[in-house]
Amino acid sequence: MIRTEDLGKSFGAARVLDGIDHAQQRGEVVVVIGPSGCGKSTFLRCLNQLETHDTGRITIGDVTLEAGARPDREKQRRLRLCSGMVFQQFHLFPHRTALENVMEGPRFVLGQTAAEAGATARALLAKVGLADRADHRPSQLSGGQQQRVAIARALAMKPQVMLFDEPTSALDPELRDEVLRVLRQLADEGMTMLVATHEMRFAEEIADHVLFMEGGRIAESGPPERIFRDPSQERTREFLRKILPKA
Amino acid sequence: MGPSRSTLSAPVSRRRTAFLACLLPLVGAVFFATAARAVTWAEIRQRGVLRWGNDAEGGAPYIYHDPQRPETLTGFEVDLAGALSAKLGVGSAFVQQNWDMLIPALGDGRSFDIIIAGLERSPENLAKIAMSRPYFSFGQQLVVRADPPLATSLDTLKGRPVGVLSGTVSYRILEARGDLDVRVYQDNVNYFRDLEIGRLDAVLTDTPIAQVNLAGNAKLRRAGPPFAPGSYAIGVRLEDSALLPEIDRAIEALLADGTLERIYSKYGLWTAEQAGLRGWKAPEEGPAKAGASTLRGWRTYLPILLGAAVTTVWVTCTGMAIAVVWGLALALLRADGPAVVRWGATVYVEVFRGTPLLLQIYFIYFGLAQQLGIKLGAGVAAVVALGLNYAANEAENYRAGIEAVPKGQSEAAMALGMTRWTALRRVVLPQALRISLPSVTNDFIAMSKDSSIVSVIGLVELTKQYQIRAIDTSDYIGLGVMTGGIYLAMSHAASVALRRLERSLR
Repeated sequence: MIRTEDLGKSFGAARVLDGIDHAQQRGEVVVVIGPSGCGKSTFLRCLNQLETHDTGRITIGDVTLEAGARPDREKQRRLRLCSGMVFQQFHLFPHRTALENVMEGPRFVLGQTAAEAGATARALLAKVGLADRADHRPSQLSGGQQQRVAIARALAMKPQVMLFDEPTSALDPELRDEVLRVLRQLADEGMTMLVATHEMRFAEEIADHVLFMEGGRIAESGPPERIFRDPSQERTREFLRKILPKA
Repeated sequence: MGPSRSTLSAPVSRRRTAFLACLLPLVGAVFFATAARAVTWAEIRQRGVLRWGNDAEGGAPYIYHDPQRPETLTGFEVDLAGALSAKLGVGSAFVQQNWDMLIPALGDGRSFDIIIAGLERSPENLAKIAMSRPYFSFGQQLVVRADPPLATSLDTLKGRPVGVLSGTVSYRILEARGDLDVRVYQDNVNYFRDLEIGRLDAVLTDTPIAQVNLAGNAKLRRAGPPFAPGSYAIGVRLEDSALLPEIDRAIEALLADGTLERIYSKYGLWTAEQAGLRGWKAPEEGPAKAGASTLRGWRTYLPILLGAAVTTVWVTCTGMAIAVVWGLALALLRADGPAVVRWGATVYVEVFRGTPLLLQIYFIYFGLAQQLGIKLGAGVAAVVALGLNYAANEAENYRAGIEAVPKGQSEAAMALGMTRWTALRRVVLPQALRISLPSVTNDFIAMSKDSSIVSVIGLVELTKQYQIRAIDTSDYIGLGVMTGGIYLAMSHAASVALRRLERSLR
């Protein structure tokens, strides 16, 4: 479902992604962990083509995009349509209500009628537990509610895979659970998901497979039991020690 | 008033006119406080220099820069000032002053002693200053196109466009008739040009101006003989009773010894009309009474000013409508156009922001007509110039708005699969416009004041009407209070309405 081969990206002289090879099956949930600046966010943004990769190739579903001198905008857009992106900072459209936020893509990208898009949007808001907040503006919602609307907004485009870029990092601890609950639900429904996160306990619980990234490379990967209980790399151990002081 | 070699004041001064209107009570107080100070004849002799005021923009044949020797001033009034000073036994020094402000500046007494600037010896002027015996006789001359010969007199021009200088006796004559389409100009060159290209059917002007401008011009000709004779005289402060007879004696001597004839002949102006100067006797008339306060006569003046305010309002609203739409197009082209288009839009913005509005108005009104034959009417040219100029500002306002929208917004839109254009239209722009609105509101109010600049191509809007009436009545304060009040009311109404719009969009 998701496949990258020798995926690379530089910002100026800095090599942010340095040859990422990754393959993920339909319905598989992969969690990416690693220290800040390890490249996990850039990895997700390349998959969504918010960053243009400069080496290698990306395949999602049946769309493949080779690195090239000049990005083919139309092809980028087709790749983007295969995935739904959820951002750390939600990025809801502040001038529209929760319902309108969810309707925006289906209406103006897929060309659905307002009635059609509205019905889907209401169902999705109900699914993330926000049926009664449909007519609220983002500014009237809590962070956790905003992130749930953002997830509904991404789901409305019926993506084949969902990309989550640290979806709970901007939230107060007591608001994280409501978002994680939605992620868990999606995983249970068989959604193909790639999640960058610092929530180690959640990662261990939800992941089929864990990638530990450092310095733009996948330093270690494997099933969560092994990565979290018995990592083979010293760097992974060190990272986990820092991030799980009590464990 | 004489043949107004009225002036093109700097754009800045025009922009500030509305603001100055509010300061006029203060200016007026200074003016009256210093008016009593007399520079006497004795002081001039002691100084050894006679300082005379005029406006170097007056033009030929009065005062102008010789194209052959652009660094020196010439003209029959320059020569007259020299000859007059010589007769008085002192040197002569020219002092530049905008024509409209010559009389107030003379009263204030700081910069010059007398005015030699084509001031008509009229009751209106005699109410404000003392005037010498005439040094020049002139009449009103109607000028038309030579081919086809249209009108022979003002009576055959009913409803037709006739050009005239602002604040002149010619203007007063046309205005008093009320049956012509009067177009007011600020200088004595451009109305001849507009007559040649057909924007005007006739021009009414003073004989010396017609004399100079018709020489060697086969396209224009005089229609009928000169009429409404008048004369130019030298202006002196009312209280300078010792200076006035000296000046009168000097003029008489210049007439007697043939100096004036020699000067005027040099410019082709020694006509039969001038013979009457020699036998001139001061008429038995007391100075006309100074005009009453226009505030007391507000029932007359307020409607006149409000009528002119209508022009200000429609010029501003139409100009701003163009600016808002065209500016948005420019901002979008800069945000999401091909490289060449982006570059072109940037150049446009830089050029229109980096050059004076006045220059652009001249370019659009006179330049296009002359070079490309695009003869825009004054109203159209005015709103086009204001619109094109302000579009550059609006484009920048929108750009600032677009840049102020967080990058995450367009990323979220792109992540949904929107094209760049859809993301801009649906997500970024609605937020950017809200951010830009206060700056656009400011520009709207600024334009209502900037619009006074369009008077240079003949539109009589609020500030121009104020100037015309203030010169007529000498009541800069009363009219200024009314004019300033109208501007304030307009900008207040605009800001209240736009603030309401801002709130409803929030």
